[in-house]
Amino acid sequence: MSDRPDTPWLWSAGPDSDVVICSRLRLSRNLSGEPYPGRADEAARGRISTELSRAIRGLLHDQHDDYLELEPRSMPRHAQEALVEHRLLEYPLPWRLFLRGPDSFAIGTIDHLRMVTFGPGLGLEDAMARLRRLDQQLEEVVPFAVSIDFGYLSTEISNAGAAFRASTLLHLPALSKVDRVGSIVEPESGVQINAEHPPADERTKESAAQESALYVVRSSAAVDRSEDETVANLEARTRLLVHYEREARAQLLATMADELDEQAHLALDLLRKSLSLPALEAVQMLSRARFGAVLGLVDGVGVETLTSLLLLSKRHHVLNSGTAHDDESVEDRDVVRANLVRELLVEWA
Amino acid sequence: MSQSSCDRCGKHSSLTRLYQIRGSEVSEYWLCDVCGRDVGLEPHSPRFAASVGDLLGALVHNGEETACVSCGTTFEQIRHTGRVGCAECYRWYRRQIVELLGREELGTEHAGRLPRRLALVKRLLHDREQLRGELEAAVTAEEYEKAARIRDEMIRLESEDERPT
Repeated sequence: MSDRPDTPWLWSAGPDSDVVICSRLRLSRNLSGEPYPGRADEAARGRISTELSRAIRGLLHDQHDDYLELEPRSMPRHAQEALVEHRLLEYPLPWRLFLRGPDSFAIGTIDHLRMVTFGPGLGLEDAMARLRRLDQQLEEVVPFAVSIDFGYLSTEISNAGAAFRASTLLHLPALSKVDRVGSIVEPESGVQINAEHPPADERTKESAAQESALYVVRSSAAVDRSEDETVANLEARTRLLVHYEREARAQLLATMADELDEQAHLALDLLRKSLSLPALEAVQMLSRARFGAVLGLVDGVGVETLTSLLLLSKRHHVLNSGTAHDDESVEDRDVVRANLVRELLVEWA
Repeated sequence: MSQSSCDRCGKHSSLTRLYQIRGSEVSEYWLCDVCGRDVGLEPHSPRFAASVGDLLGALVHNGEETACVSCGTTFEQIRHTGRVGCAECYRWYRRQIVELLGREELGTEHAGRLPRRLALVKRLLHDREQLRGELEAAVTAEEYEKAARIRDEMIRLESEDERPT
């Protein structure tokens, strides 16, 4: 039960991972000559799914890799939501999903195919090289819809062109504390910054986002921008945030080191001893403890452990741990969450 | 290639083939005589040479709801949802989509990568277009030796284009 989650690209160390938790890239592709999913009847869905599945199986088989082939629509709801929270699945749920390490292939979402890959930390370049290879290998065996002037044709017209999106997930506790996150990314910068999806329920959405200090920086849609330009721009904007976050951390450390030290230790104590841990409190404490760990204020617990717990402690991850069920109450889940966090802090120490 | 029904009304009738040529892109449409007259085209008149994209745009603006020939999506649906129904929608509603994207006109080339085979075609088209411009400039300037070199380069490109990939 307490194996470290099999998603190292989300929590393990990578470039600038004191601030950047992971990088994510997505390519959308459609088969030439077939209607898009919203217009596809049963027969067309069958043709699209068969052709793409065969191509992806061939690709993964040639590379001798283990992979999972899932039909997300027939999975239990909590399993679907856990995959969504792990960022391996997006709504609308695809007809079929292939998972191979940090790479996923979703067939039949908004487009015929969406390929997603992750890199730990600010690992955009490596992830881009991997995604490009997958795309090139697939285009050898399936005809993608493309025109010379529009570029790759996708269901959403704003996505046509490179049909490419990139994002980075950041932990910005210092900038969040001094309320400066919003002022660093200019509206015309080609990226948007948003608080990460709330880990708790809707009522606590605002405060949960603020307390977790997790933010996503996303590339904006641009039909006339190449993949490399999009990645370069996102990387530059992310580096700017990393720079200011580190600067803010240094300032906070210079002015209130004792307070930060105390907060981190109190948070860690609470995580180690709580018998019941609501989602909001969990992300708040884990965020503070992670902040303390990257500043070198706490011993005995690694940054990677706290990063994975921060992502794990969300509601459905708890449910998916095998000890809770869909029909359990909020209180029951809080107990399960507390048990899980206590156990994992010892096991992964 | 021939087609048995009109792209506009779907009925079988005497059909006329229209080509839309925009830069490097060639699209083919078939209209029956009735639809041809409906949209103001007389066979053998110079207006038949008009861009089919403009023609279809005119149909939409006349208030007549024309759906994409391939999937049946209307432009109103695209405007409302930001989504097309199939790849053909990009040709069928080209001008309107370019406008929706907030651009006056697309560049002749998409900025990102393309599949390998298409990238070769794009390079050939781009080089040919550039050489054609240079050739015209050389002829205008009466630099005939240079013009001959450019002509030879264009012939070389043509033969490269014909090589199987």
